[in-house]
Amino acid sequence: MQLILRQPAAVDTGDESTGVVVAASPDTFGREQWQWDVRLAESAGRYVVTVSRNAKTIDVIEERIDIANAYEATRSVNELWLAVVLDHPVTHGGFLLEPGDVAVWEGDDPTSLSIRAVANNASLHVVRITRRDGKAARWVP
Amino acid sequence: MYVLNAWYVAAWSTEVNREPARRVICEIPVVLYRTQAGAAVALEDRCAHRGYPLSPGRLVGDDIECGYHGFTFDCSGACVRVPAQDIIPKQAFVRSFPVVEKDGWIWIWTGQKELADVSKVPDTHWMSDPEWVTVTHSMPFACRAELIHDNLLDLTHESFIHTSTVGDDYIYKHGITVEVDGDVVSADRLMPGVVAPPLYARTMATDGLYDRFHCTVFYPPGYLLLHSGITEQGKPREEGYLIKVLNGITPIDAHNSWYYYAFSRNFGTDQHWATEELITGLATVLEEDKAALEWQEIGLQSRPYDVRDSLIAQDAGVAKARKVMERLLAAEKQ
Repeated sequence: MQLILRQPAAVDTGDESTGVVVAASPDTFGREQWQWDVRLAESAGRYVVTVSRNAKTIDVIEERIDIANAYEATRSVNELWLAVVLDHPVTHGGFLLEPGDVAVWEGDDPTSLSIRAVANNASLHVVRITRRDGKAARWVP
Repeated sequence: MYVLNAWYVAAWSTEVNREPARRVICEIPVVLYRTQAGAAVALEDRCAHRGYPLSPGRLVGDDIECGYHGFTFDCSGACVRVPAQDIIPKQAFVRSFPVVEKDGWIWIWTGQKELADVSKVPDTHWMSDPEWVTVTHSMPFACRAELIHDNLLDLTHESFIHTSTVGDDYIYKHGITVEVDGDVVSADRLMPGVVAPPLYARTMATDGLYDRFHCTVFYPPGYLLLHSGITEQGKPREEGYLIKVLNGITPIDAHNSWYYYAFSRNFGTDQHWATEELITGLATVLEEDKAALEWQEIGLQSRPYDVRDSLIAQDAGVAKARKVMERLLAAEKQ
C-alpha cells in the first residue's frame, strides 16, 4: 500500500514547536496501540522532521538523502518507509511530490523505489520503520 | 450531522418539470419545479403559514401555491399572495436554495447562500459528451451516506459482492495508492495482466490479459468519481477502454441516502445491445451494493457505541475520507 499525503492534508497539532503531523499510525485516535508519528515543522525557512515512536515495539532509522539525479532503493516487505520531501520537487511512479509532501510505503506494493529530482537537486528525509518482534510494520488506518 | 455548505445532487433534470416534486436532503424538505422558461427552482417544502408541504400544491405561472390555504410563493421564496387577506405577513417566506443544472443533474446548495460557489459544482461532462455513452440509475439506499463513500473507496468488496459482474479475486490481491490532497481523497488500484471484468468483457470484445485499473476520487461530501478501465498490458490508461462512474450521494437523513449513478463509457458507443446489457448488469451491481449496505446499516445500528471498525491497509482511502468529513463537519460547527 502506498500513501501520498499532500502537505495540506497535514494535521495541525496547535504546537508550532513540534509542527504538523504529516503521517501517523494508527491514523485514527483511539484505535490500536500507538506506534509512531512523523511531524513536520518549519524553522528558519527549512523543513525539520521529527519522528516519535513506541520504543517498546518500533525501531526507526532516519536518513537525509540528497538526490542529484535519482534515488533507487529496495525496501524489505517487513519495513515501512516514509519519505518527506524537504526542498525541491521529486517524482515517484508518476506522482509529483512537492516540498512538504509525504509518501508512505508498506507491504509488498511497491518494494522498489525510484525517486527522481525534477530539476534541482532535491533532498528527502527518509524514515525506515521496523518492528522489534520481526513482524511486518504496517500503517494502521 | 451533515456538511451543508456543499453541492448535492437533488434530482435528474428529467425528474423536475411543471409538477412540483418533493425531496428530503440532509433532513431539509425541498420542493423542486421549473419556471415557465424552464429554470429549475428549489424551495423549502414547508409553507410559511402552518407548515403544510408545498409540493402537493400547484404552480401558478412561476409561483407555487400551497394546496392548503393558497399562500403563494415566488421563486425567491417570498410570499406574494395570501387569499384570505390583502396584507402579507412579514415572516411569510420560505427558504430558497441555489441550484445548478448541468449534464443531466440538478445540484442544490444546502448551506449559506452567500457561500454557494458555482465553480465548485463537480465536473460531470462525460454525461453529455457525444464521445461517451451513459447508462444511468438512481435509487434510495436505506443506509447513511458515509457507507456508500466507504464502499466506493474500498473496491475490494467487488471480489465478494459482485462476483458475476465486476468482481474477481485478483482485486483484493492488489494494493492501492491513496492520495490525500486537501479535501480530495483518491484510492487507485492497478491490476496488471488480468482478465476483463465479466460485465464488460463482451462489450469490450476482449480476450486474454489486460491491465485493469480503477481509481475512486472523493470530492466531499457528496460526489465520487470512479475512473476505471482496461488497457493493453503496459499501455497508458488513456489509450484503453475507459469508464467514468459518476456517483452523486445525497443524504436524506441519518440512515437513508439517495444514490444518483451514471456510467459513461468510450467504447462500443454505437452498440445498443451493449448499452441494454449494461443497463441490466449495472442495476444488478447497484442492487447488490444496496442490499449489502442496508445490511451493514442494520449491523451498525445495533453495534455497541464503543466498538470500532477494524480497519486494514486497504481501508486507507476510507480512513482518510472519514477524517476529511470530520474536519468539514467541525468547520461548520464553528
